[in-house]
Amino acid sequence: MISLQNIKKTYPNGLTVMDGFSLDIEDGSFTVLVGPSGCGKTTTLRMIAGLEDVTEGRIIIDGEDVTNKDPGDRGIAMVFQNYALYPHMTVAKNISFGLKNFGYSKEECKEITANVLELVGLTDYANVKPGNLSGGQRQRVALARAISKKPKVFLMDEPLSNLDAKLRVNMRSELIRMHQKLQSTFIYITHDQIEAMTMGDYIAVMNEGKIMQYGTPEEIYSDPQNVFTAKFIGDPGMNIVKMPDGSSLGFRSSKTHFSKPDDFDGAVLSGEISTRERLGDINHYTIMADSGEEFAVRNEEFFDFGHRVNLYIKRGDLYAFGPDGARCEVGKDLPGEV
Amino acid sequence: MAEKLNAVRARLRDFFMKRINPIFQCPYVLIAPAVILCITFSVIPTIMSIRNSFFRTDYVMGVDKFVGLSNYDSIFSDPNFLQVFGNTLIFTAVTVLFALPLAVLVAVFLNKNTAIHNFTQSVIFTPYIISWVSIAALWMFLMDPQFGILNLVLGYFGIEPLMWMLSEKTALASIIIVSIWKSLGYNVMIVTSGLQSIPNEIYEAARLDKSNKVRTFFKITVPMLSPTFVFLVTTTIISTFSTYDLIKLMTQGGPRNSSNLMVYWIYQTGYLEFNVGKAMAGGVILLLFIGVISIANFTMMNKRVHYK
Repeated sequence: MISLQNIKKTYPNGLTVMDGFSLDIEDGSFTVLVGPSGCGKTTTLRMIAGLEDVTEGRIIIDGEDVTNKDPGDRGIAMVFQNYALYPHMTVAKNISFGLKNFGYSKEECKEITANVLELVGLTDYANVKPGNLSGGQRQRVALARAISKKPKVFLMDEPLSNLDAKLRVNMRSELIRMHQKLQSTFIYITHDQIEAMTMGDYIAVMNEGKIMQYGTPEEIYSDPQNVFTAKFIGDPGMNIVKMPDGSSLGFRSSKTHFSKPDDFDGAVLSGEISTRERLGDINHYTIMADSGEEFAVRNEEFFDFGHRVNLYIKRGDLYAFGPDGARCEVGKDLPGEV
Repeated sequence: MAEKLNAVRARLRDFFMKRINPIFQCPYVLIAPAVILCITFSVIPTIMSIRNSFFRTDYVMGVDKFVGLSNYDSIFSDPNFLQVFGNTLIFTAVTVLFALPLAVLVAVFLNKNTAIHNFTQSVIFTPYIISWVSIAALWMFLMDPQFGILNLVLGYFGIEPLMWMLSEKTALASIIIVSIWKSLGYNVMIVTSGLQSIPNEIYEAARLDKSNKVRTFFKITVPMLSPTFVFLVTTTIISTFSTYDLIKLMTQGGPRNSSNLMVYWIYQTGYLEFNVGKAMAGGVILLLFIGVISIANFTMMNKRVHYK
């Protein structure tokens, strides 16, 4: 288990990016840290790796306090966003460089290098320099380099963000397969909530150096604990309606009806269709509500621009949040039909 | 009045459009200034020196006679020339061998972005922009056998005072020291910029690979600086081969030819002994030598150098 205990991080320029940060990551899990830019997810990863000092608090990997250990002695491997391969070394040398430092003999280095290259399907490229490889191949070399060290923990800092869309989808499933095969702990950073939802066993949603919610993708999506998580997770994020008393109501864009369902009990909002994208089987609408708020709506019914509509949301599909943004019970008084 | 002015303007415009513009539309006209300069100051002098190296020329008596290879014959049997050639090789080799590692050492040390490091870097750079005359004067003062500071410092360590430029044994070494000192700032600047072009993640990857500082330096920093080294080795060799000012100002090649270098020898032979043919033959040898070394340097290093 990896455990971060009461971490405080202050940069040399005096900026404190996190304070009292704690997180436990289970062995063998695929945990995704997700959040907007500057939320501290990369800092967290770099502190686990030992590339960044911890101002206060402790980092424990497998019951061992590694807070002051060198990155090479923590039993971790990292895959960087821009690969960080050694450009002057061949693919095989990129992998064996680290192995030699870890005290493997020449024969062992050769064998391990050959094995991991086969695992990522780059055996034919052993003597090629990274400059002659495509982005996807470079990423695979970086992955092979990480795997070769047989680490307890893999740290991945947005490894797919430099790849094109199609390759990204392929690599995503490849990483999931790799995780099942290796059975090691993966800690994966992304700002892309789709990646988080599809890859993670557990997701930690972060904002401003704090964990907003930690749980399985299902929990995070269907049971958000606060407005931030609700808005951040999902494509599109949850629609939020401000209530007069400062609290707010949320609903998913697909859980809306344009016509009143039978036995309706729930909230009704009225507004005007301001944009529409027709995708064939479903339409994406933006609805400008009378209150001035904008909602994303997915619906099969077809309406044109400027059309006035009523949105019906059933009580069961509503989420309520208190004035502080935390989740609470859905109240009795809901906005009704005008 | 205004009409007249307009008419003149129109005629002028016409003249420019029809007569002048076509001239400047021709690419050869556009590159002509550069080509003329290049031919006048590089190509013609080179051809002239190659030609003159096969002639015996005496401007006073008006002699200009083809003598074949006899100029080359005479320089290769001239012990002075051979000594000068040897001096030049020693000067170049020692300067390259000491100046570059020293520059790397200083650059690695100064490659931190704090006020004191930046200040030091600027201070080291100043000699490079100071003229040779001032530098020669300064070092002649420092190296004065009787009143110089260097001998004073050596005295503290119990070392006998040296004669520096005034002794056959140390004259060349003195020149080498000054030359390394002057170019240090420039070399450090180039190496620093090379260091800064190495991305930080690569060093982080090396830390995760458990590479210690020494291994990281030799296995990552040095190979990634190789393009910088090729550049510096080539420019240093060319500049040491063509060193003239320092010799002229500090030692005039003496004592007894011990600190004489090729270019100063050419000057001596051509302008002090008025033996133009012999001087030009030396010039051609120098030209060939620099050419061969530059080409060899580039082809050899190209195989091993990493360019991104």
